[in-house]
Amino acid sequence: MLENNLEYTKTDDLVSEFYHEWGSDADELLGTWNNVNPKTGQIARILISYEGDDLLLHAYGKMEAGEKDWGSSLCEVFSSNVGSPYVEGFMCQFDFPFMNIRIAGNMKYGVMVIQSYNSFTDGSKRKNYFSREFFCKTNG
Amino acid sequence: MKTAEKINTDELSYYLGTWRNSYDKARLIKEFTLFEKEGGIRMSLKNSTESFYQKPWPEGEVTAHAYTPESNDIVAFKAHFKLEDMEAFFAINENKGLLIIAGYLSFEEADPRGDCFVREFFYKV
Repeated sequence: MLENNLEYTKTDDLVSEFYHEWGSDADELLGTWNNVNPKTGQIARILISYEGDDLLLHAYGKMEAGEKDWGSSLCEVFSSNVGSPYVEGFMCQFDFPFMNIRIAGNMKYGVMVIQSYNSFTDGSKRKNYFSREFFCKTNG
Repeated sequence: MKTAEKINTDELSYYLGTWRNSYDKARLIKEFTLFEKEGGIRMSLKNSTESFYQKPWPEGEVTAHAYTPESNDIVAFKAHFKLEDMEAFFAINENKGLLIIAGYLSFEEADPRGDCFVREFFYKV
């Protein structure tokens, strides 16, 4: 199991022959994902695409009227274990002059679960907040 | 809800229509439709391609449930189906635009199939 003298912080940092493979091919992430909550005040939709080898997440925030285009952010992708080629989750970040938004996403039974960690940097004393919402390829 | 009069019809209209399974390899249900009939709520459903149950389903009776006894804001449903060889109870709840079905499936005593449980996720089409 331990092929090299790799450093590790816990058992799962090392490759195991006992891992059960699960997760998604990265290609399954590609496309447009719509928030299934019609009353959302968070991200309205997400576009995921490749640019070369990079996985990009393009987000649109829900506004009272229409959407705000956040632009694209490079995703760091994560598997369910150190030996898996499948994508289980991803992280990316959007930096605005007044706030930072860290996105942590994962897939579950065809649902993209998006957690956002929202931090304000404008001195407005707005509380940093967290949200968790669900996205589907609703045109599929 | 014990009576149709207690149902918030605005909220109910949001739920009426077809809901599709988010997972293309769904274990049981491809999609289902909630509709009103004869003063009540009914549910029809289609098996997924890979479903372990492939017989057609009759319409099921659906009951709406609110968040509190005093409110009429619908947050969940229960549905019951009596099939020829199986009985199904569905506990359905809403979570931020998804309807989540927890299904409890029971077969006849003499049936070699064991009672089982499914949990699937649906979005509004």
